[in-house]
Amino acid sequence: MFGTYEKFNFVRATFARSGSADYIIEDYHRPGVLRLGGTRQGEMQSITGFLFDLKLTVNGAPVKYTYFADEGSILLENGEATVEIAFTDRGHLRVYGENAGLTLELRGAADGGARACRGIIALPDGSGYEGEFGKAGKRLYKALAGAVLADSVFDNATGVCTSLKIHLLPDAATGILEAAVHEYTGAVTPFGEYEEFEDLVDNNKADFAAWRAIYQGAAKGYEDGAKYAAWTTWSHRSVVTDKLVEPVILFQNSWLTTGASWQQSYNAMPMLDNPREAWRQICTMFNYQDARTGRLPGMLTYAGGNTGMQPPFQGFALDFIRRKIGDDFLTRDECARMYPKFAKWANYWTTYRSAGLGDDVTAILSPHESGWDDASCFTDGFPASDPNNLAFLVLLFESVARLALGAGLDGDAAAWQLRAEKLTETIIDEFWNGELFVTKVKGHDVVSLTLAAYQPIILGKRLPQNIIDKVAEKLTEEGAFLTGIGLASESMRSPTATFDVSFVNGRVAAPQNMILTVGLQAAGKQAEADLIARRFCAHVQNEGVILGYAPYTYLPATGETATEPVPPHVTDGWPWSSWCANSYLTMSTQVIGK
Amino acid sequence: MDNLKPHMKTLGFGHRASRHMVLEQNGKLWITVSAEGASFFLDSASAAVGLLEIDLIDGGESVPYTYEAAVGSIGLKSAKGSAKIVIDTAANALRITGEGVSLRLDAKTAPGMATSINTPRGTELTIGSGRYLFQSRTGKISFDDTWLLTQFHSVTPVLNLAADGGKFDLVAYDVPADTEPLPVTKTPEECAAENEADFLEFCGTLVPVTAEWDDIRGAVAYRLWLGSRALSNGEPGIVNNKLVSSETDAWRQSLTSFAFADADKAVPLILNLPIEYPFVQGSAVLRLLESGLLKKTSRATVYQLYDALRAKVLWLQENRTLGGVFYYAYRFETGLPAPKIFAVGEPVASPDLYAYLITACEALAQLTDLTYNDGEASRWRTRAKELAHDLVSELWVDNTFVAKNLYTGETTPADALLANMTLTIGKLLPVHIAAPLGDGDFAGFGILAAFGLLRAGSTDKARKITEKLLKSARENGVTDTAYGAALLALAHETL
Repeated sequence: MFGTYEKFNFVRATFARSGSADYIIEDYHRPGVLRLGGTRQGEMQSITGFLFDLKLTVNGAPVKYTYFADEGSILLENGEATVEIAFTDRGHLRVYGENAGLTLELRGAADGGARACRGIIALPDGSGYEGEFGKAGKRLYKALAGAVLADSVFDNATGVCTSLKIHLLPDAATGILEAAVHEYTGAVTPFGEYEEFEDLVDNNKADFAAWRAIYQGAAKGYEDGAKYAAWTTWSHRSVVTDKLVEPVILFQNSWLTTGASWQQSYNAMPMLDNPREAWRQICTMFNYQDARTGRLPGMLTYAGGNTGMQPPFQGFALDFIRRKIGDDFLTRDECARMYPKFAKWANYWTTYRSAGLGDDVTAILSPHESGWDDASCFTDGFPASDPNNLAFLVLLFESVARLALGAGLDGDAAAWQLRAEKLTETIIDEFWNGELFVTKVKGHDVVSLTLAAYQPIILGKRLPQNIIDKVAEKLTEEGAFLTGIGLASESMRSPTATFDVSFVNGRVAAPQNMILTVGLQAAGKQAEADLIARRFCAHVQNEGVILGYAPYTYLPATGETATEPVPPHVTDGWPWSSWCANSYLTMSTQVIGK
Repeated sequence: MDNLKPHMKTLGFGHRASRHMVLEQNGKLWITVSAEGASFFLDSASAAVGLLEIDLIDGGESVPYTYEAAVGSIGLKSAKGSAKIVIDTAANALRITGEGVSLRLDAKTAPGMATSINTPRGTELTIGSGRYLFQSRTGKISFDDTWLLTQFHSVTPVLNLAADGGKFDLVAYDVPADTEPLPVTKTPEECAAENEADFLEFCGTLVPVTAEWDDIRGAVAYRLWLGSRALSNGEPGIVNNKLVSSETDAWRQSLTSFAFADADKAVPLILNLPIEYPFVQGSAVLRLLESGLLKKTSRATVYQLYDALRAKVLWLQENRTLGGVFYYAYRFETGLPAPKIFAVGEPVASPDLYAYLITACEALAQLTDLTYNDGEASRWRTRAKELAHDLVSELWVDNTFVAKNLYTGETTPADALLANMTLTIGKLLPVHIAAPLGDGDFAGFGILAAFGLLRAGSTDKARKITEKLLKSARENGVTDTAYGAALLALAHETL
């Protein structure tokens, strides 16, 4: 799937595994050098001190290598000298080598130093070496066949580690190397036993295959991309800890290692062959719901939740799933469990983000609450009544109604449904100007050429046909939003469109393409949805599972050469991310016609 | 503390029950909030930095001002008018009132991710780790909350409060998201008086010292009072400097506990964080035991202390012994950044680790005495003696304490501070070994060694050391809260 000579490598993607906190990347600045890092400390690969160069050694000397990886393992190779690494979901990784050793050299991103190491000790029982790495926790380096040796140099005057090399050495007689590297904070995580290495690789493949089975098949011609996308969501699945009480799918492994709130619902949408898992994904953020206000945190990390907030996406996700496969998974018990939580979340918006008009119209206080950080509809600032937020709320109200019904609360269900209908009418009557949906700030319409202006199409056939037709027309007009690779987040006729450090002010972004094509499909505009989704998915399949793409090398509105951030960087356009993966999976398996 | 000015650049003005703070920066006063932990986009706690500069305005122009600062309030004076700053803990607000001038709060630069919004209930500003809601009780606020779309933050926050009838009255709430502000019911004078009284009441919970050292006591008391805050685990703690510290270490909390004359105040400081390194909690508990303070506390507290100490001793027994000898695996376990003992490499046996274990065992014995379990107490006492014997037999070589690599047997003289920690075991340390150590290093947690001198009956030596340390604190200032707390206790016990 990935490798030196494969279509994709680990310069932008990461080698990882579901339930493991380790990752491997290829150094952008030193091509061919793989590096081992970890997600737990939440540091970006550009600044973390906890990164090890992986050096394939023959008779103790480093040699160049090529690599190949799939879901089972990653193989480093130089002729007959091979080292294979497989991750587990039990707190350790395994190494198997033939005629080769592996040296892990600590080389921090910022200064190339080894200061992340606070100490390394040969354990008294001879089982290996334990290293202490501060925020990154501890590592136990253990030889199962062959030997482990640690070379460390500390500056005694400062106590700072200046060099750390862990040598995993093959057995002199057999040439075989087998080792395990455990990651933990207090004591070694219980892991059962060390299975045969090839069994571990097979188990990883089986685990991935089981993961793939939760998604339906991709449309013809998009299967390859679907495999990479599924691999991305699988390999970004977090470890369960005291702060992350259920697995979340991290946004990125080596850049922003966060479980973003609304992205968990994105992840749920294509999981249609395992609706229970999809439902669990949607519900997982409610584990961290504020008991007083009902608010959900914006992001989760291994250190806990943050105080930001993201849109009420859960209703959109649940509405989509129900339309596709029904809702038998919403048992009475589940409805009873989740109804009060969903209701509280919905009422959070209408209470704490009320626009003060006496109805359910909200006014958001930051662009992050809309999900579109730099959409041009927020040019005039805040508080802003955003029709996208209102559309999400309509679908959330309907979901609350469904849960109420399932819990046997018919009266509540009817009330929520009525609120949904009224809010829908308000969106149509007050936020549609004949051409697009407008954002309002201090009572006036914000003038903008943002793609977000068409997102309320997610209401599907709840909208009048004339609106549906107009939105479909606008979204398929070539040269405006529609580009050769999908919908641009700002019209290409907009003088403010950019592909530089930006998210939705010009780039072709995965989530918007998914949302709008799902919306068009729900509105009966299958041909239009198909057209857009095919373009976007084809590009992802060619270029990689990356969140946002520049559709041109120039800015069409002005003719100027487009600038982009210098790689490698965390922002859209560079790293692989699960957010693109889940959007691709939804589009390729559910939107594109089969 | 009638004059806080010497501390305004380093510690600032604040209140133990509030995040609001004021500090002097670049010749002006700034409002800020106490340091918070690492944010999503930052990798370390925010540094001591003012968020909004305070300016007095006349005719649209800034006027120079001087200020006086006391625990209860700060008074600003200019040629045109004056202002007063207090913390209103009932309303969780910082209040600035003035007359003859108007007020400006200016961030000077637009910090990343600052968002500001003018709303019907006031001006809301999220800046750094601060989250303010500004309301005017007198005067008119003007504030530009323009959003810079492609920079993901608002314009530089500048709040102008124009005086009305020559007066202004601004309330800056520290209000969590989705929370209504509390009503303002007190005058600034009432707030100032209340805060002064709170400080004095807090001082009353600390151990007394002779009047000669009241200035040191006041300086330590202010650091302790101001440094009170919730730690990230939700437990109350006292940090070194609330402007820059959002967390503290378990050993610092233990040293801080020494300052309190009441076990109910001291014990939570010992227990609120997991016991890490250096393992000084035994000394902290011995202080409570030997002063009789634990006799006035509950049996549950005794058991809590017992369980915590025992767990650490057993953990060390299980994870840090080789052939029955205790060792350090990592440098940071000593509490020093670059301990010389690691020149011989790990695992390294060191005399201070034995000292911690011995004091812990002695504390466990005395705790068990309080529960009338003589057999158990006797076993802990025996263990303390065994460890004291091992300390000398393993690590006293050629009239000096050494550290030893347990794999190679190589030894090296122990750092002076680490060797000095053996004094904490009091009479369990042979006199001929203790005698030369008393002139050693008492910095940081090393001050605990002086308590050991008292425990050994070397009261004269302990007193001389105390006087020397107090004089140094007077000359150089009290620069560390935990150390200052322990020094206060030492002064209380020796002078």
